[in-house]
Amino acid sequence: MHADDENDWYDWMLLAQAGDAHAYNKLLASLSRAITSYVVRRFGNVEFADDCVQESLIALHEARHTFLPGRPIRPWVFAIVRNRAIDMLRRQQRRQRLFAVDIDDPMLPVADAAPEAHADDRRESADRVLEALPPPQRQALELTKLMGLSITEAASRAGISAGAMKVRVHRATRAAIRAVEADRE
Amino acid sequence: MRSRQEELIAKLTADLTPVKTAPPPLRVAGLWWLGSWLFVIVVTLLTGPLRPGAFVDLLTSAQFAAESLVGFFAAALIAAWVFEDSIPGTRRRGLLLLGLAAVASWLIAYVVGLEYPALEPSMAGKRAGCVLQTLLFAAPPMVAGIWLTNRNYFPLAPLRSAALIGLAGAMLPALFMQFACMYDPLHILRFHILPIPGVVIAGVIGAWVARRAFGRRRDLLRGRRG
Repeated sequence: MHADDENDWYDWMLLAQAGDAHAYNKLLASLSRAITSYVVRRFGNVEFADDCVQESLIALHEARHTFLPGRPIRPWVFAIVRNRAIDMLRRQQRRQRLFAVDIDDPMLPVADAAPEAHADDRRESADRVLEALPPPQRQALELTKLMGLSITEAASRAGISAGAMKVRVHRATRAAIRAVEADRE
Repeated sequence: MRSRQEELIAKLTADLTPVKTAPPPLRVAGLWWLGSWLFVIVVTLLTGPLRPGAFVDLLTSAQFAAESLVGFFAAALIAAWVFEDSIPGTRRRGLLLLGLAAVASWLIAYVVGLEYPALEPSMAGKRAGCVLQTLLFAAPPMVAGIWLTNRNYFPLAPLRSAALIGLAGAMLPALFMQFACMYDPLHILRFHILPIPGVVIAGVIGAWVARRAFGRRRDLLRGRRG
């Protein structure tokens, strides 16, 4: 990143704080490129970088009032990006744990394949179950169980009430359990 | 066709409203500090008298004055760091280390006091229920600190912030009990300082529950402080 970019970001951010949409658009476009490059360089995963940019831009948007004039913008931006990236990695780990295989589970069909193969099978199976759910239910499970959002946060993301989100999560969980049981049989 | 990022940028741009920049964190920390002290002093005075001659001891015992001042500055440094840290990208590790070192010195002063007390230990001025009062008087400063940091800023480690503001908040009544309750380092350690970890844990749990219940992420497209 060049110092010029940083100066531009600084100017655009001050304008954006005053409500200048054009400057904000330029800022976010420039930041998304810089964040992509940063995340790819650090984590080497383009798909992850794409999600990370999305999360980071949303966080930057929410936090834009905390950028204080006179302070450097780069540490402010990348502190938020690093925080989002770490959050996402934690969520991924949570997801892996959720779908992890208990290889000692006597109910599981034990074949001659390696445990890793079973783990992969189970993850694929879990992904299949999720895919088979109606989109609103799938979204409800993804937001609450995989991304770890609260019911209120998830409801806000989905644009529905918290009560409706609770019902959706409940139905989705039951449908997923039924699908997993059917899969086992 | 537009990419996901372009779509998001378009949405966020469309959602843009002018925002008022957050107030300088040290100014808010200072207000929190003054308000919290005022609260602690007033409720302590409302619930009982001060130890006779407590403030005179400040002038007559350098050790007593030192342990009081170290605690006073320790809590101030921790509070300043928490508010500064609630602005992303602010690096004031030195301030935190200084604050934690001051907290450690404050604790060590009482441990040393077990053998070499600053004042002659006595039951004079003993306050009934000082442990409960320390806990209760710490709660409003802690809640106010958590609310102020989350309302005005964007703490990236909100649970750590809650723990540290709980520490700073709980140190205030613990410190003021130096003047409002009996002086005996063992009593101070057991009944004024031991409640502090409880307040810290309560702060973390409270912040966690509040985040789960209310969530910081409001409807993005409605904006936060438009």
